[in-house]
Amino acid sequence: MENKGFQTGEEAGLVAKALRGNEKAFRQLIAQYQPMAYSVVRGILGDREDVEDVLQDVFIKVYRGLSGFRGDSKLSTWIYRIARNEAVTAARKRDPSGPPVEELDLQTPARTRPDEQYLQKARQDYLGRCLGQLDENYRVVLELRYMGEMSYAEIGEAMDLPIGTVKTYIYRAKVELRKVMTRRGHAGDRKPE
Amino acid sequence: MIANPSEAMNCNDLENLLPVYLEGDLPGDAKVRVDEHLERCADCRKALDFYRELESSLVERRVLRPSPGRVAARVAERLGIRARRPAFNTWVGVPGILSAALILFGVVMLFIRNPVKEFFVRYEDGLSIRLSPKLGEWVTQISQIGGGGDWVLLTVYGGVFALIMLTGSWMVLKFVRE
Ligand SMILES: [Zn+2]
Repeated sequence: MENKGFQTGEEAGLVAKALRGNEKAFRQLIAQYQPMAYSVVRGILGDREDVEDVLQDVFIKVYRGLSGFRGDSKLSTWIYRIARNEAVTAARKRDPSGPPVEELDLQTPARTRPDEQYLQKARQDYLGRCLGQLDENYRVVLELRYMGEMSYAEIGEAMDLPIGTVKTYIYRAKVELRKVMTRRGHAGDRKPE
Repeated sequence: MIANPSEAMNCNDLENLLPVYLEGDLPGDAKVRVDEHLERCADCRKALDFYRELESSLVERRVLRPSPGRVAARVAERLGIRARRPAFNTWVGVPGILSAALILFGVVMLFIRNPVKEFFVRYEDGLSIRLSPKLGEWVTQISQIGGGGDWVLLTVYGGVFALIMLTGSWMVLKFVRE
């Protein structure tokens, strides 16, 4: 039987077990692909409240589609596509938790409370909003790389892109992100304009 | 993207190269020229610092990731897959094993009590010194505590009763949970 989509026999076994209704195998599958799926959903939806709900939708689709998965593509590619579709569909619907990220004010967070935890949270919020200003592909590769802890090769595999393209996306994404963050004043070492 | 090798690099050249430089992905000659520029340009050193900080800020975002266990639990719940409870439940398993051991002990004692006593007694006559007469005495004494066989039977019955009660309550618990 041809199974070129599976990297390892172990993975094929995991899918087979999950298909037979083995709950432990399905949990293992989730644990393995959750960082990737989360990064994709987060990359597309940004800091929306319903990111986790969409992530659950992704794995529900994965579970239901598992029997139809023939290994024509890599498992990671297949899950990436499901995650992307779910996130794009969700992005078209209105965010139940508030206005789209693009409409939010991009001001540098005010330094009213000097404690480090607060500052870190503010920096993170600011970074999240700036990420929202990037092209979708740039956001997704950055999230896959850092949030998803994936190598260039793994990202390339999931997104079905050559490694060189993945690298270029990441480098350009960083340059773009710096433009966004420095134009608006960076919450970190740079003085607000 | 990379400037003419014969010229020194300027800030514009570096703008796009710094992330590549930081990743260690620049070819040797380009790296040397970036190093040269960084030596004399505070702005580009600042930009480099920015990218370093950016990387750690992006890594920090991992705290946002939900735990896979939580996601799996919610997904299983929504799919109607009931999480399989561990077969060995401490509350039922430990007392269950204890009472089973009790029953086993009682049954063993019940069956070996008389033969063992006779076995040791017979050999005490000097036919064999391989078995300790002291051990024979000890076994005999134990088996006669409380007047002989009654306590052994009590152990067996008590153990069986405890086991039945535990099985019953376990089944009720299981039924209630589902
Ligand atoms: Zn410079």
